[in-house]
Amino acid sequence: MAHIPAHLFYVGRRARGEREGSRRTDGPGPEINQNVTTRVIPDTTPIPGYHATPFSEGPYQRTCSTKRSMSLTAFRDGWITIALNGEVKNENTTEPRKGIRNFVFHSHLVLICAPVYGQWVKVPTGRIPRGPDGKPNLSAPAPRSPDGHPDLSGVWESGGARYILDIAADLNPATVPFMPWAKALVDERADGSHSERIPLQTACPEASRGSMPRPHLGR
Amino acid sequence: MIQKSDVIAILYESDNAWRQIFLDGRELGNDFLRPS
Repeated sequence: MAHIPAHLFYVGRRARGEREGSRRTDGPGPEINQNVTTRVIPDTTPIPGYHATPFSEGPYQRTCSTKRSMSLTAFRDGWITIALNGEVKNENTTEPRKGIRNFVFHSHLVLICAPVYGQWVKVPTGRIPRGPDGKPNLSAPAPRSPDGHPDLSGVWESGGARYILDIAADLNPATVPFMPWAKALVDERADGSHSERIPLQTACPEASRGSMPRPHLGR
Repeated sequence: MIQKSDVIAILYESDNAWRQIFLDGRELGNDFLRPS
């Protein structure tokens, strides 16, 4: 026998104080009083004469107990021990296939949970002018609202930090419609005399006023 | 960006910021030079 789990219990002659090996399987054992609580002791030693053929039912242990005369314990390593005239507590016994059932049950719980998205992966914007290949036509005329004004509604994406640093980056400086105070501020800071301050406050009129710059949007 | 006949609202994804551009011809406020 390779190994007997220590949590298996054998109660028989040892619990009653008899000398080990004095009894064999021939003949009935002495009567015990069922009203007296039998002390349960761990037994990890095979007892000669109390082992039968290998038990090959599975990787679990099972303990069957009758109150009066016989207990049958099948160990995990494939041996059967028969204890005559004893009691075997069912503590620490493993219910057959309980682990497998738990695994299958929890596996089903995991499998029936389908992932869902909290947001749309592709926002269905249907009013974007598209080319024959389905891609957005960025050179198409801007859509118009019913009153004729450009329709700016929709989801926009930031074009980067270019216009945060200079809102007029793509315009001719002579034609930028600055207000007088903004033009004076830009001219004052154009020589870099305020470069020790926050870089964003050197040239951007919006940031120079101390407001929180926001990315300018492009479609 | 939400556009109505009298206002354009820009809702930014960052910092839950937003802007309002009124199109009803109202006068600019006194704090125009230092907007929030």
